[in-house]
Amino acid sequence: MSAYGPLLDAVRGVRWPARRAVGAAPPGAHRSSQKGTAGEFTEYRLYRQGDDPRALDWRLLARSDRAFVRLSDDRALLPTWIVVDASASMAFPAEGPTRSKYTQAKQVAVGLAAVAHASSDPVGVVVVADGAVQRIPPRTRRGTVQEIARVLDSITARGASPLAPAVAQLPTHARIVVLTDCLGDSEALLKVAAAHAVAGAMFECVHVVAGEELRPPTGTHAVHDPESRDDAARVSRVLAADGVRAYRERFDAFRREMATRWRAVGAGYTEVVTTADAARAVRAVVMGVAVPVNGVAGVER
Amino acid sequence: MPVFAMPWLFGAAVAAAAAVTALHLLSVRTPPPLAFPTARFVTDGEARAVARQPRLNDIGLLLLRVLALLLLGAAFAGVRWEDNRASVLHLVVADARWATDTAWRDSLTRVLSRDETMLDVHFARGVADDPGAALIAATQRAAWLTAQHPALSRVELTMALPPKVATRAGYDAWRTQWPGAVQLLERGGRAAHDSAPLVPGVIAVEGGDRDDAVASAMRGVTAAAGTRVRVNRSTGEAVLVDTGGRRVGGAAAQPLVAIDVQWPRDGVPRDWVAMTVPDTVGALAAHGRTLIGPFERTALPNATLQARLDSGYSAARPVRAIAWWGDGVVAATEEVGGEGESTSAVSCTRTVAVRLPAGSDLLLTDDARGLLRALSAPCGTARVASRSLDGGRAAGDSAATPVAAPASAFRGLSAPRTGSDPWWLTPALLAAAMLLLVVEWLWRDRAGVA
Repeated sequence: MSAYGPLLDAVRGVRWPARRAVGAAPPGAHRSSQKGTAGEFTEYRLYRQGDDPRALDWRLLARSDRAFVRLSDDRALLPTWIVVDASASMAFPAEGPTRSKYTQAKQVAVGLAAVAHASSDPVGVVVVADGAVQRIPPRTRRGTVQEIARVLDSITARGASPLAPAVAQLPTHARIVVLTDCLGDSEALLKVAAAHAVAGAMFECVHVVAGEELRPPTGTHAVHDPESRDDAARVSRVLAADGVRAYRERFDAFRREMATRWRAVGAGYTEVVTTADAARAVRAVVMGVAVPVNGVAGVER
Repeated sequence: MPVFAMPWLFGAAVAAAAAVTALHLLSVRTPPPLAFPTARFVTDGEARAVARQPRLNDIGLLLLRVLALLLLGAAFAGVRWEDNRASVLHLVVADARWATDTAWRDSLTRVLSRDETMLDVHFARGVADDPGAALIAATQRAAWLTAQHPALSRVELTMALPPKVATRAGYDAWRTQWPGAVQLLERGGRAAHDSAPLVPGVIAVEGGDRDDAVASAMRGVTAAAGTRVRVNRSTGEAVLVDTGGRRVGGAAAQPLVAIDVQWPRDGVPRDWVAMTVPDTVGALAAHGRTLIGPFERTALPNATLQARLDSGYSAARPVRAIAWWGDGVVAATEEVGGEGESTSAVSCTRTVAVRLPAGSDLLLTDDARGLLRALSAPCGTARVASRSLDGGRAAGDSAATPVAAPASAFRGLSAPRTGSDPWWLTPALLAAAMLLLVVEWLWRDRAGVA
């Protein structure tokens, strides 16, 4: 946890409100779509048969001889699932001054877990690596964040990892945050996200982008997709100086398309660059505010 | 220092090595692989499968290949270890009769030996009779020596000749075959190392007329040492016009050989038949030169003289033609007479049937030197001008002729040595080259380099 210490200190006090009222759930910190009898008064309603007599405003009944029930907005918990993509593409860049996409995803995931846990929300994690799914169900007990950090640290990003099957199994009455580079089964994941959003889930997509992907390395390289399993069938393409401009145009178009499609299914979308500070990235995801990274808008909302 | 019997073959190996180096510079290599998750966004159209690297690659393989090529080239080119690095060959050709004169040979070697010069004294038959034999022998010797010593770049030729030779026809015929100057060393007591005194040659024109064209022309002629040329134009007081020669010694001066030249002003010498009507001739040839001018032929050899001339030159009939008109008619003769003042020299009489045009300066032209030399040459010979070893060019050599002949002019005349020296050098080089090629193959096989 020492590696996450500065991050946890930086996100202390940050709250992560739900973007809309949550459904029926145990009492918690989020505004619920249910009306209850909490202490904070909202409105009166004529008593109807079957209402709890304890909700009657007896003083008003004594003054006006009419039976009214005091109503207030209910508060509910919001279980939070953090889904981390640990495919081979997330291991990029394996070397260099900047952290890898998986390292950045781990930092943001731990930060978000800490923020959600501070709001007394149960927090769980799902890590998909090399076809295997490792999950920790949402918990509110102490040490959950540390446990999540240990699980994330114990996993090495490798192989091809479809996220859609793992996400499809998650409950819909929850907040689901997917940290991915959108280079895997993004189409299937968008369909699952749309279905969950319709069912009431609050979906958040954190698109992790490497700085080297935005500014490819100089020189000429024979590039290949690390998630291609078959080396023989692996298609190598040469990224030369004269092709960088076309590459960046296509990659920018892809990122814009991802933002548009995720938001179209009712999900939140935040782009996090590996060069960005993790605490700022966490705040950007939580608050929906784009935070400049090194003077550049590296985190988009 | 290594030299090659066939340097072009080694040059070809060097060229091949350069080509291999260029291929290593210009080789097309696959760019380094890079796992790039967003490789799908790299466009195919602008991608190149290969990239040029303007720097040497696979330096180890390059060194092996270049070294193997150079060793193969050296082996096949007949490499030799040459200790003699002299670039100049000084070739001295002398008559074979002098080969036993070791004292003369040693003194010659002492005088001619110089640093950076390879001295070779070669003896050939017939040099004393005709210097052309020396030219032929020198050409053959130079061809053999330049083939044996590739470091030689120039060949200087000195021919040791007696004061007189029987004929220079061969020399004149072969002179153009030697691509450089020929230095002539007169042997017989007057070599460069010889301290014997010389008696200067003397030319006297008797005619009583100092404005005579012949007298004027003879002032530019140097008589051979030890000869006295008297040109008799008519009766009168002799006029000394030349006291040529180089050294005048003391008491041991050699006696002079008398050469009488009968050249009457009217062009009708004795024993010649005067023509009633002078004939017009446009050219006069002598000593290899042709003099063009408006000559009038006034006399022809009489029948007796013509018969002697037609019978050929022999000891019994020592008359020969030394000048001819343009139509082949004899214009001047030489008749060898008795012995002169020297017991070893022979006097002679030369008759010239040429009437010069009045006030003519034909004899002052360069083409007239042939006739003048024919008249001033030693008796019985065509004169070969001799110079000391440091005297520069021989007579007859043009100023454009290089002093030393290029050795390359002889290298194609003799079969070069193709073997290596020492003999085991070629097999050793071949073995080393094969070993390097095997190592190169193993290296390439292990590294998977093309």
